[in-house]
Amino acid sequence: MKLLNYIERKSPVHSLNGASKLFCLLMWICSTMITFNTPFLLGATILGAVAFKLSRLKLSEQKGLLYFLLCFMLLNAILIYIFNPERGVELYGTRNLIVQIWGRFTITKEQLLYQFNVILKYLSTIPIILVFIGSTQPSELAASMNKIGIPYGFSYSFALALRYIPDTVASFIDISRCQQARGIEMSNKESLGKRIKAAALLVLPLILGSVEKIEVITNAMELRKFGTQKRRTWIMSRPFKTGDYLTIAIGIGMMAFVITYNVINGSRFWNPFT
Amino acid sequence: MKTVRNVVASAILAALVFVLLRFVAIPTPFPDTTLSIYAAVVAFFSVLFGPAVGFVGGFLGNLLVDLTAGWGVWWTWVVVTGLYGLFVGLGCKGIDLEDGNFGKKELVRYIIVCVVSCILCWGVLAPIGDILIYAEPANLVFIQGLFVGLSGMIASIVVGGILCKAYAASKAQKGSLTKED
Repeated sequence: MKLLNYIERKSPVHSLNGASKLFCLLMWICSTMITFNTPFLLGATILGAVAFKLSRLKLSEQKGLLYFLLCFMLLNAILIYIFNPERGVELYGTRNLIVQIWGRFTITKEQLLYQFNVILKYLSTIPIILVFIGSTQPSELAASMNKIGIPYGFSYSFALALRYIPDTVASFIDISRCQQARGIEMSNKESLGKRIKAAALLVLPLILGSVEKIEVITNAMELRKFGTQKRRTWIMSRPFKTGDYLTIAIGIGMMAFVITYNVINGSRFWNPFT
Repeated sequence: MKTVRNVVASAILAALVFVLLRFVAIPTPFPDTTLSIYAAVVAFFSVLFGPAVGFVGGFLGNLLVDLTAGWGVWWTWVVVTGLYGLFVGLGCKGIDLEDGNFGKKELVRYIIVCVVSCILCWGVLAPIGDILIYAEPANLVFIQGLFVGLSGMIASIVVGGILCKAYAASKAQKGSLTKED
């Protein structure tokens, strides 16, 4: 199983330093998360699409993920509407009715803009996550986390987790097959109580086995003097180049724009109605 | 994150959370919700290794799932998974599974801590975060939180309880050996 779908390729995005990409990604996710400024989100979506193009990744390589994203986006949009068809009215404070469908289900301009914003939030972040994952080698990721100031214990945990996910998946599949061969049923046919019991039977050996593994890995790392120094070097770290400073500037620029807009405007919402 | 063991335990917890969230979907009678077994693992690791491991492992595991799943990173839920580990770890401080000590008294304490942490995390913090940061409708996020919290609570108590009991039973009890004259 390929976990993070890293795809080796020659492109300007691939040649960037992992640390600058990670910094830009964090700024990107945070700024699009905070803001409800529609033009900004549109701009971020276009910029994300450009980055995707530049990274020379293909849409067909990410088919499963994109399909899932579309379903999730649609489901979320429908759920938001069903649960509160006038959420936009609450947020924007005005009410421009377009049609009254039935009972409390109305369509207002505010609701349309709010839901458009929510969809844009997905569209502006997903491509950039895909680009980041597709163009950054997992082990370089840990080195970059440390480089942008995250403690190395934490970064190393991340690297180790990436290393051990395929192993855990493999032992999970083995255990699951063994238990199924013993006739343990986990589908809808069983009662909830029995299903929880079945899950326990499946999860128990997996977890107790993993706890044993912790001891082995710890011993191996202690023998190599892990954690005795304040800093560590990373085999995968690379020096910064011009493109990296540009990437960092984009990240800072986005965050700065969102913060100044919020302060000047007094709210996170871009409001064309008043 | 002081000792090497904590670094490794966090990593393994993250890997387990990832696998359980992505591969183990146990259907429940409620539509579109699956049983959150991962909460049980987070709780068990927090009891065994302490609050720091629970927080880092839960956070990293959920972050990895969100990064690879296609719904984008929901920071509120990612942080809340970590906080669940933190709360359970803090609440169960002093329960020493390594000494094979997990009797009735500890079990009751564990269950109370799990219930309180679940309510606090998925009933309060996650929905409020979603409302404040993502401006989602309140009733929607509270219902989502209720489902996840409730199934997490059941899983933590039943599966997590069994795990603690099984692990403690596999260890020699403190003071079970006496020196012969």
